Formats: sequence, C-alpha cells, structure tokens
Amino acid sequence: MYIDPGFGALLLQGLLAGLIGAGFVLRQRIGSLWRAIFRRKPAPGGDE
Amino acid sequence: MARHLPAETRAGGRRIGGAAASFRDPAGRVHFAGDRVLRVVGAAGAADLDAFLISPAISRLAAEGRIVVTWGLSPEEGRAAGVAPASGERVLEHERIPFPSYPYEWPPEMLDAAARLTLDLADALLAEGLGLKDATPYNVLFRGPRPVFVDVLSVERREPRDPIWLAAAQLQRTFLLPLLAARHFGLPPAMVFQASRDGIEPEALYGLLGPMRRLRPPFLGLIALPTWLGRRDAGDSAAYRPRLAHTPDRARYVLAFLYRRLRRTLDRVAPVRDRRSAWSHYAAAPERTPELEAKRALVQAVMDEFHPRTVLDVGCNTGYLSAVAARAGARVVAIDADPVVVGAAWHRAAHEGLDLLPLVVDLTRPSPALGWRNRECPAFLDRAQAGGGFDATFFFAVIHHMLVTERIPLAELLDLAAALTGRVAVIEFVPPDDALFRRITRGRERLHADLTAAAFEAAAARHFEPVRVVPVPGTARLVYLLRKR
Repeated sequence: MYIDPGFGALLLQGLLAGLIGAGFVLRQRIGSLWRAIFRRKPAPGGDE
Repeated sequence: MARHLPAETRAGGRRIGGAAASFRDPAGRVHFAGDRVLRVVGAAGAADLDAFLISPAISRLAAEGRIVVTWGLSPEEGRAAGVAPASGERVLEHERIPFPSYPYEWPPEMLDAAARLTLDLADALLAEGLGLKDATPYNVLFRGPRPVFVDVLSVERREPRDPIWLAAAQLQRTFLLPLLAARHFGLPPAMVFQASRDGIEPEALYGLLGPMRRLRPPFLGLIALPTWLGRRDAGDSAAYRPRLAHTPDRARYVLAFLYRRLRRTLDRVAPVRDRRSAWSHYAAAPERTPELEAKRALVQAVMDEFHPRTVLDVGCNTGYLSAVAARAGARVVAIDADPVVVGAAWHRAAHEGLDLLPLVVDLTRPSPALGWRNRECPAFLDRAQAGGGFDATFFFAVIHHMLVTERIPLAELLDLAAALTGRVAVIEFVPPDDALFRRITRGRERLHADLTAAAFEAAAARHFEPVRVVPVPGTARLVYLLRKR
C-alpha cells in the first residue's frame, strides 16, 4: 500500500541510518579488539 | 475467544467499518457478512500473509489480545459466507471488535496507547525479518480501553539489508505530531483527524514554533529538521532509492535504534496525567457525595433488574457511573465532548481492566461519516444505532447542556434518546432553577420557563413509560428510569 514516506523525514532517517550504521561498525571493531586483547584462549588440554 | 483455533491460523485483522474501508490496499479486501468480518487476500499478498501467520511474535501478541484473532476459511466456507474468492485467493475470518472507533474520537491517551502498540509490534517483528508497511492509527481499534492491531496486511517481509523504515514519517504524522500538538498547543486529535486522514505535516506546526523552540527536542527532530530538509527538491527521486546496509545485522541494529528513538520521542509527547479542563473538576471531586451515591445506586439497580448487555453513557465525564455498569458486566461505550475527562475515563477503565470504551463525542455534533464516498468511517450515530441501539442509555447531568448551550429542543433530544435506546433509558432532569442550569443560561432563564418536570414527562411519554423517579439529594433534580415503549 502506498504511503507518503515524507521527504524531509526520509532524508533525516537516511542521515541517522548512516551515522548509526557507522556506530555499529565501530562498536564491532572495538569489540573485536577488546576480545583480541583480553580474551585468552584456554590452553590445549585444559589448564584450569 | 471461545473458538479453539490452530495456533498457526491465529493472526491479525483489518479495519472494521464497511467493505469500502479496505479498498486502499490492493493486496486484499474486506467483506462484512452479518456479524462476520471476512477478508479475501489475493496472490500478491499471500507470501506476506504466510509469514504473518507463522510468526511467533504475532501468535504471542494475538494470545495477549493485542492483535485481532484471525482464522482461515476454506473456499467453500468463504462462498457459504457470501464471498467469492477467485482462484489462488485466500479467505480469512477475523474476530469482530464490538464498537469500531476512529482516531478523531480518541483522547490523546488512546492515541498514545495505539502508538505504543504499533511500535511494540514493529519491534517484535524485527527479529523475524518482518516489518510494518504502514503506521497509522486506522490500523488499530479499541476493545474496551485496550488497543488491538487489526490490519493483517500491514505486516510484510523486509529486505534484510534495508535499514530504512518508510512508515516512520507516517508514524510521526499520525501519532507523534498530533500528540505533540495536543500536549503543547491544546489541539485535540479530533481537530487533526476530522480534517486530515494522514495527520499533520511537520511544516504545518513549524510556523507555530518560536526560533528557540525549534532548536529544542522534541521540536527539533520532529518538526524543524524535517521541515528544513524537506525544503530541498522533493522531486529528487534519488532520496527514495533504497540504500542497503552491508549486512542484515547492521540494518537490524539501525532499525532497533530507530524504534527506540521513536519510543523516546513518544514519551516526550505523551499526554500529561491529571490535565485540567472546564469539566475535569468533577474528577477531583469526591466520588462519595450523597448526590453521586444516589445515581450509583440507581445504575446498580438498573443493572440488577434489567441486565443490559450494552450501555451507552452520554456525558460520562470521568466514567464513574460507566464503570459501575461495566463492573456489573455490561459492555459500555462512554462518551463526552471533553477530551480531558475522556482521557481520565480511559485511565480508569485501563487501570481496572473494564469493558468500557470511552470516546470523545459530542452528541449534539456527533462524528460524521468520513472518507471516500463517506463510506470509510461510518457516522457515530449509525454505529450506535446498529442492531437496535444500546440495551440501556444513561443521560446523567447532560440534557440541560444540550437544551441550553446547543438549543436542542426537548422533543428532538428525546427522539434521539429513544433511537439510541433498546430497552431502558436513565435521564436526569435538571430544572431551570438549578444552580448549574442557571450558570449556563447566563441570564436567559426565561427561554426555558416552560421546562418543568411535567413537561419533561409529557415529552418522554411519546417514546418511554416511566419505571421510577429518583430525586437527587440536596437538589431539585430528578432522575427518570424509563422503559422504551
């Protein structure tokens, strides 16, 4: 069904989507970095 | 719902209010067969319908009563019910929501509840790769005070990498901006939705804002930015081209953020509790006065003696007496012209879980039939008189307003009362020497010099026979319990 997506509101949503999408990528990268630095793999054979 | 239906066939529904209401959506059409609501879904809508029917989120919301219950019919059952599905078309039946109402009859509190339901649904569908293709209050009806999503064909499968919700602007126009207008400019939803099906454009409110206010939330994000950005060339079709995210996860993250942002904005424009109006002082008054106690006892007696299944309370104020009828088991529609007191009645009904539908309707100017060929939204009086009207009608402390302020003749008023009443009417007679009557006549008492209890009884006798008359303690008022002839 056709609805008016609202030109100004759509542009605003597009801008926000770009920013939030970039935030998502940044969050993922920081998360990978964090895991790489602080999460050690368990030693083979289990060293508890 | 008494029916036992396979879980996979329980689902959403569609606007009640005449088959003409369903013509906008090419994916399907609605038919009314007596009390039954049927929908034929074409091949174009079949895939979205299947996704809807197997959605766990939809099943959960239907079980909670937040989506209208739906079940499938075979083509033969459809034909027996009076619809003629073409090859490849599917027939559904929806639970009937008792008294359809429209956004121009809702106080801001009900518009807010409908907005929250719409956002809850969009949010719940996100994890399943589904979304809403539109976001309008016309997708929602009220069962008592509880909103019910009724548009099954609003649910669609989303492109997994699409981070844009096209319906967001419609949600802003039809929910957020009307709520903002009600809260900050005192503009009731009736003024918005009787004038426009699709709510308010941000540009319409922009001119009402001063320069500083335009920069403050929620005005900045809801009004100023869309207005400024909208001044660019709206014919620029590149803006409407889908821009896909790199991964479905990223698109989902963006949409979840958008829904959260819309919900925060909704919190900012939500109606303020305990608003005041010319009539809301009734709400603040103690509810155990001898006057009100006499009326409560009469309503209770009507419920005990006549057991009305449906009640219309005209001039309900904050719904104290409507609630008495609802607690006694009636399905109540309660109307008042003041959105503030109707909002309070909605809070009362929602808090107590009563089958009480409060609506902003002025009986001297009831909602007209609206929409395409006046068939999309039937007039209030047509809905109220359908099926012979309400078993019982209450007119407490209201007819003097109609007589004096709106100059409705007594005989006309009783004609309408009779048309709305199936069995019994309770009408409070307020004589012209009553203090409140004198307050609203403002020195024109002589216009109503012939309004006496005897004149009222004679006029009522055309439609009703008296059952009993109860004096209101401390006043010269009389409450008539009348049986329809």
